[in-house]
Parts: sequence; structure tokens; C-alpha cells
Amino acid sequence: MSITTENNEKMITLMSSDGEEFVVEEAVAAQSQTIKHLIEDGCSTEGSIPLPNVTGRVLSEVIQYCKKHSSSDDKEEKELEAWDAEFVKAADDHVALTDLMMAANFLDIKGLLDLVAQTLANMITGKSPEEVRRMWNIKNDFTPEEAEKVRKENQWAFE
Amino acid sequence: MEKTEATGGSTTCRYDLPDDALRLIFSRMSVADQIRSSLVCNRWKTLLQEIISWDGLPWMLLYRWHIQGTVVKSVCKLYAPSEKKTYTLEDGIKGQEERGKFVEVGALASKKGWVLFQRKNKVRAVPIFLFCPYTGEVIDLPDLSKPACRASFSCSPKSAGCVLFAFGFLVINGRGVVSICRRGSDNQAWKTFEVDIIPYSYVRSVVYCNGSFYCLFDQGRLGAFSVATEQWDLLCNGNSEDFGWSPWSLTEFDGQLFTTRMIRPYKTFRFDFSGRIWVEEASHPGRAYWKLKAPNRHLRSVQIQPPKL
Repeated sequence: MSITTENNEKMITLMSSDGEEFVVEEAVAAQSQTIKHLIEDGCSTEGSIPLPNVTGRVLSEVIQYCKKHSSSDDKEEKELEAWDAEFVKAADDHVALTDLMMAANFLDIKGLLDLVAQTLANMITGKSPEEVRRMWNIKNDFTPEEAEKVRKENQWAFE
Repeated sequence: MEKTEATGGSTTCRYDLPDDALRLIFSRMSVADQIRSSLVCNRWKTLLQEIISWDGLPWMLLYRWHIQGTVVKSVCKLYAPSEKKTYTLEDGIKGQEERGKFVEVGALASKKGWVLFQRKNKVRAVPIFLFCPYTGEVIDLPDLSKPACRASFSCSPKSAGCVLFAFGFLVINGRGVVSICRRGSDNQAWKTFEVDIIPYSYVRSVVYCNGSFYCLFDQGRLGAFSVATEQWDLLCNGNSEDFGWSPWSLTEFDGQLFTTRMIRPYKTFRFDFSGRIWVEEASHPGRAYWKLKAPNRHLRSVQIQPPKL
């Protein structure tokens, strides 16, 4: 379903995995390469674009990011950086950030991917393998010998 | 996001971030964090192995140990040139017992994360110990009573068959002295051989390649000592037109020997083993390696193999 606003902006509707609908300007949605290709392939003309991998909560955050980044130009780079910093801070923890990362990866939004990747990398900085495993609920599938080998060859990294 | 439990598989990550997403995160971490993260799970390790092996640039060990009164001022850092990042291993004042043996030592050669150090006195330079900055481990070498001024070793001193090699001169008769020490053997003492050299030619560098230690002398002269046969062979007399008396260094790259003029105009020659002659090359295939510069002029430096996954 394509709607046109007063100032002739083409609007499209995105539907999250939990059925929530978001009406956004095409220029905003097209920051996602995935959505851009769907629009180009004519998938937006009939009803809304379903995004089965993204929940409404995450999608609203993603749209917030895309809106900000489609309305800003290069002159506001500093302000945009500050906004980005606030944006990831608001995402609060690694769980929310991981959700965002999954969405940015699926929707293929390069700026958001880079931003969240950097934030997650910062979170891992200085953490032990045990702490990182706890964060993401990852199972340790190394034998003690395998782990010892890496530790021994790179002992300085574990001191 | 739902909890996904791989049945019998290796990963039970609650958030199975796609490989590309993980690669992006890893690429933004320091090498130390990459190494630590490689121990999270096998999948992370496999992905990190790609990243760490992408960059083949060697690291540098930056060091200085000197006596200040009765204590040792100890500085030891690792430098990753591609990241322009320095990892400090030691920086401070230490007791003499702790760091005494490091005082006024110089690096002779490096291999597999190990560095061979020598102590210099007025007449001789003696290879004295091997040091691994990643682990802090030191391997003392037996005393070498023969002259030595250049030395190297064949592989990790922890692996069987590692051979240490030193080259020096006998002032009395103008001959050379080769000393070797086989690690892991019953008799670890140095074994020495008197060898023929062109009198008064100075040895510039020593390199191990395919079972032999090669010694580069002035004017492109090249000698080789085979570890298996314990035979010395003067391979090439060089020539004064191409080489002169300027400093040249010898390097091994992909099983080939190269020599490079260390001052302008830079030149590189490859050794043609069948013709026993140096052949000029447009550039060194591993140019990036030996062109690396240390970030701190006040510290001495040696290239070292980067961390391994």
C-alpha cells in the first residue's frame, strides 16, 4: 500500500514479526538495503512489507535511527555522533544491542551495523572468556587441553 | 529473540549472531581481546583465526634494561605495526636478581615468538639466553667460549631439533668459527668447527633457511653451514661492484634468500642456488616486513612473530 503525503513523500508500511505496523517515508526505509531491494522489486505495492525477523520493539528503534540519519546532512556530523552515542546508550545492555545487531544485519543498514558492532566490541574489551560466555549464554566447547594450548601460546593476553 | 538450542552441535549461543556480524565485532577489537575471545567457543575461534591470519605483519619487541644504581630500569613492550598499538609487558624499576641477566643485552635473532639475546663485552658478543616476551619464559644457553659475533636459531627452542648457531672469527689465523648447539640432545654443549673464509671479510648477518645457516659477508660473499652434514661451504665470492662495503642484510622469504642494501640507493638481490650467483630483483617480495620501523627510537627493537591462534 503506497500512500503519498502532502509534500509528495512516498510512504510505505513495514510490518514487524509480532504484527505491528509502521508507516515511514520511503527514503527512511530505503536506508535498509534489504527494504530498498524489496521496494525495487515491487514488493511494497501490495500491502505492507513483512519483516519476519524483527520485533516491533526493535523495529521502532531501527526506524528511529533511520529517520535521524536520513534527515541529517554532513554538516551535522558532530551532532549526529552525539546522537548515535545516546542511541546505543539507550539500548542499555548487550541483549538489546544484540537484538539491534541482528536487525541491522538482516535489514542491511551499514551505519547501524558499524555503530552497534563498535559498541559490542567495547563491551567485550577486557573481559575474560568466562564473562563473555555468560553474557551470551555460550557453551564452552573446548577441551581443557585445547584451551590451555591457546593460553600457553598467548599467555600475555590472559595476564 | 528465541532461545535456540543446537541439538548435539557445538554452539548453544542464545543469540546466534551471524558470522558476518561477529566478524564485524571482532574486527573492532584489540588483538589481546581477539585472543581472549578465541577461547569463548570453537565457532568464535574459527572466525577469529581468519582475522588474525589476515595480517601477516610481524610485531616488534621493544626493550631496554639498564642499571640505575643498584636496580634495573626495565622496559619491555610489544608493538603491533598494523594497529600502531603498543602492549606494555614491563615498565618500571626491578631488583637486580629479577632482571640482572637482561641488563645491556641485545637481540641477535627472532623466531616463532622467541628472541635470542647476546651480551656484549669489549671483544665478543655471546649468545646467552632465549626469551619469549609473550610468556616471559627464559631458556639459558650453555657457555660459549669461542668467538661469536652473529647468531641465529632454526626453529622454536621448545621443539625437538632446534639448533642454535653462532659465527665468529679467529684473530690468530684469520679463519672463521662456527659453533652449534643442538637443543633437546643429551649433550647440549656447543660444538665448534673452524671454517675457511675470505680473510678480513666481515659477517653482516646470519639466517636459517632449509636446513642450513647462511652467513652474509662483505661484498656479497655467502657461506653456508649444513646442520645435517656439519659441512661449511663458501657458496659465492660476491663482487665489489654490486655490493661494495655498504651494509647489506640477509633475509629468508618463502624458502629463498634475499639480500638488501640497507642504505640508499636500496637494492635487492635474490640468491640463485643453481648458478651460485646473486640476481638483482626489482624489489623485496616481503618489503613490508623489513621496512617496519619501531615507534620509539629510545628503545631497541627486534621483529617478532605475532600471536598465534
